Amino acid sequence: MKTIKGLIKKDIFNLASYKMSLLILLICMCVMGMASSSMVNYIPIIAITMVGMIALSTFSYDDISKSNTYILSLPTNKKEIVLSKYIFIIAMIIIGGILGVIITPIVIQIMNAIHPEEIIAVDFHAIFITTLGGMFGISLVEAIQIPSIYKWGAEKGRIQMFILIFALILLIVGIGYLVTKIGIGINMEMIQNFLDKFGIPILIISIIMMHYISYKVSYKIYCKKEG
Amino acid sequence: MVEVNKLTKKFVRYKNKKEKEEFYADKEITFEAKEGEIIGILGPNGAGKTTLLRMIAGILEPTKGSISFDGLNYKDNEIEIKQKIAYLSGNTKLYDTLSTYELLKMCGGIYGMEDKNIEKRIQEISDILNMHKFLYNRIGTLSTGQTQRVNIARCLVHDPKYYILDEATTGLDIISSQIILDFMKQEKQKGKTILYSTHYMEEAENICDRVIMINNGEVIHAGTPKEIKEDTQTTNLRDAFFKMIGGVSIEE
Repeated sequence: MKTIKGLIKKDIFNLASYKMSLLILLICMCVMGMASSSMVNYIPIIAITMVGMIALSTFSYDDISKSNTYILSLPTNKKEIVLSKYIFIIAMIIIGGILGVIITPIVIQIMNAIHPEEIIAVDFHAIFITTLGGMFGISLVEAIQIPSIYKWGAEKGRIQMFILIFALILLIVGIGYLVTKIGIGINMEMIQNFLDKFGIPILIISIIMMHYISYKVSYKIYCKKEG
Repeated sequence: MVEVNKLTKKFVRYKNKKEKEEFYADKEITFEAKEGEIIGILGPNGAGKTTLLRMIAGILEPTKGSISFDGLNYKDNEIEIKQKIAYLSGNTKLYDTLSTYELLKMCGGIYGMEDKNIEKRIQEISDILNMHKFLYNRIGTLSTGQTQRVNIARCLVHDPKYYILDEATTGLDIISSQIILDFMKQEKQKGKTILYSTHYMEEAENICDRVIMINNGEVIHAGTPKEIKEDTQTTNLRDAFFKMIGGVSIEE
């Protein structure tokens, strides 16, 4: 556990140089959120995406410093090395989510103070659902990208990820197109009811499952790597 | 004591997209290193030095053979062995965005040291390597010589018993490489064992107690520099090496 803590500390130290950039992005995010009452709902998604993507940049730091060989010479094993990355990235996604949940009501209050004629109600349930949705989205992206990075390295892994995400979007759009073309009737009310009942547990379980499967795949890839 | 017994590493490489071939980076390499010894692993580029040291450092898994440190083997005591060794490669860079202090703190943490012990050790190392001036500066802003000292500091943080230095002086200027050589001499005085690979034969001749010459993954000679020169009837290790491989032609 001490080793995992040490490896996570390494990533935190590396990201500390992002302090200023993060603060600027945070301000930009708030300003963007204030653009309209509909935009404010996307603040948690922006926060999670931003923090999640920054967390991924720690792979680039390891690549640039060619530290992989050095890390393997430390009193640790491949399992702990991969696990520490996942713990760090999941923690960052959660931090992004918390940040979004905290910032959104503040931005809404500011907006209400600026435009008292257009009062926006703070809907914590909606904020929570949006946050979970954002966490699901970034978890899906990272669950695909991390094994790609372990397989091809940070730079190539990023390109592979774009291809994979593009393929995923194409698949979803394709299925949607086929469904409408064939004329399968979708009962939206039924879907809405189902999501209202089971949406949150499904999202949480999916996030956990995605990271777990991704970790297993990454570990397998990393074990096969020589030095 | 480090005991390396018949250490072999086989890799697969692709000749073209379809055809692949197996080749031995190292073949049945055997030697031992005692306390307070500097062992030089000499050979040209591609001889198998890096693969050999990476296996000894536990970074690569050998295809065959065994390595033991004080009687402990990697299979059962990987973490215990890694606590005793420090690996430094000429290829390894440092995290540019970290300060020396942060880097050492991070390394100490990975070695399982308590925070207060890390702090104490950082101060001790800063005294030894005269790093107080730039301890809190970002590594990316340091000079080559200062960076080299940080590299050494990283090895020293857990006070290892064994040093594995892979071409640590390659590409460095005379002052920076001297920092490494002085460091090796000092650690030898303390009874530490150093395994050191280089293709600078003159450098090895001056600093190593014993030398293992490898070429194409196989040991072609081993002994003290004096013994090797006597055996090959040459005056320096460079000539001895060429004599053993049967010279070198421009075509090669």
